[in-house]
Amino acid sequence: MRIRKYLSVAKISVTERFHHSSNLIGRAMVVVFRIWIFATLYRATYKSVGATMINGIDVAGVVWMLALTQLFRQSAWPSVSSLIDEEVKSGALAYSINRPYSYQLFHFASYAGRTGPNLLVNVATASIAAYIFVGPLHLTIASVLAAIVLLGMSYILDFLFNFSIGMLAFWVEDTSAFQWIYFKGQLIFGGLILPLTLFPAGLRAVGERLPFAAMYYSASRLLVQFDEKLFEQYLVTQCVWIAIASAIAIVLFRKGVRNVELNGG
Amino acid sequence: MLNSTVANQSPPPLEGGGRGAVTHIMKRLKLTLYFTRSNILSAMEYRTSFLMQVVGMIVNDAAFTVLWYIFFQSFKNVNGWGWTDTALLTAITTFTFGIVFVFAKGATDLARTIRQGELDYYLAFPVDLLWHLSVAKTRIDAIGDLVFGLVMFFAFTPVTIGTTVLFFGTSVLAACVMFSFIVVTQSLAFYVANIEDAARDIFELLLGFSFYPQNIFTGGIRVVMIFIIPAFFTATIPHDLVTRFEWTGLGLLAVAAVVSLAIAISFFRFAMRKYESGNLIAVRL
Repeated sequence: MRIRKYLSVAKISVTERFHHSSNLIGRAMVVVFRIWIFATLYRATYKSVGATMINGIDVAGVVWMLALTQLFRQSAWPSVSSLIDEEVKSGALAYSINRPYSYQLFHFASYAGRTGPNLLVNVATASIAAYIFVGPLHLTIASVLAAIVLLGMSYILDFLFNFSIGMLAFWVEDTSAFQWIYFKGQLIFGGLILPLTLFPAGLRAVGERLPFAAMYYSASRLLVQFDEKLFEQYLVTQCVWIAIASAIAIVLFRKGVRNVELNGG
Repeated sequence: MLNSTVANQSPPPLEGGGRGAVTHIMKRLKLTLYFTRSNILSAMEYRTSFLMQVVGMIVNDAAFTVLWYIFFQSFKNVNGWGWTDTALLTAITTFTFGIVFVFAKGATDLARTIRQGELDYYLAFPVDLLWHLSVAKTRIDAIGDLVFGLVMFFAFTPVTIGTTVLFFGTSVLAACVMFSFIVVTQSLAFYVANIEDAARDIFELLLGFSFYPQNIFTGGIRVVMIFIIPAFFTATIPHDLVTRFEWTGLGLLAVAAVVSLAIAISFFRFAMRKYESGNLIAVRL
């Protein structure tokens, strides 16, 4: 079965993540402190404006939303773009593309294998921390199902963009600048520190059409407060961006591998 | 190319070691500048890459600042903390980060250097190990942080001779605390294998604390910022000193810088006893 080899790749990544437990503990610590900071910041912010609800979301909702968005995104670390960038620069890619597997699927399997354990640990840690700092999150079946769909699509979308950025290493010495721009897009419009719900109205309308909000923020937003119309909107946005990102990734890969020169030895 | 290194160059020998601590420190600073200058000149051989890294970091910092600007468009202030406070805080934090990563980037790679058994190379030199491996590397994009910090300071802070001196002075002292924190967390690699990611995450926490309105942190979280993740010394006090100078605050920051450096150096030297050479054989050109 062809799928078996990709499952093996994913399994190796899972084992590797659990083997380096110190890193998982370090990451968990970061998650706890971040949630503590968010809870402190938004309590003070809501208090300053004298509100208990802003755009239908209370402090607990904002904190859960930020915690979930951050942990979803953080679970996909290390970024595929930096790994591919390194492979292209070191020349390791010349060997990878000649192996009996699809280069793209190999990276996707490895990415999924890394993300799974991170997600498990992060969800557990963040849920406990958020529960302690702001109380429980009230889930419904609809919100959970919607979040699962959007989250799965988010990981695919994030992978495709990162893969494309990594491919740019064929033409530029260092793709860090592109990685930064992409990460900063996620930071501003991806609801990592300031949820889009709290953006000024005009900017929020723009943000909701971009791929960044359609990623992890969409899943956490729906998980905190289910809204059928918003779910449909995010799903359409994700599908459109996945189609665009897939096309970019395929074109860049095809053009990029033509630049590989094998000298033997 | 993110980092530039002249680690394969021998540091010029220190002369006149018995002339007192001040002379010794001055010579170390001179040598540090020598290393950094060489690293930067080396990176500048690839002009486009160099400029992309520096400009890229400025864009990166600007994006973060834009986010806070949007935040303060939605909420005018938090406990009396407004946009100009955040602008100053960003200026101090990015400038402090820039100082550490331009002049002592090697310290941030310490865990990896230990894991790969690469300390052997540095051990062969008759100079202080921690200093040498710290200054041997420069993070080129961090020049962008220095530039951005300066721009933010001059653009959003009432600039006087006093505030300018305080900005530079407190940033240097904060950089000492930040450097010490990095050395301690990275030195854990002597005891725990594969701690690199965790050490980086913990350092990012320090940065995380350093960009938020500082007056919201009270009680338990303030205790954490003083004793565990020292953002109180890298962000809170420097910001407060530039806005409302107090000798007590300056004294506290100076003491924190000296004490944290002493702890970091002692811990590194103590932990070094655990180091085992990997007998790595490598050719350096």
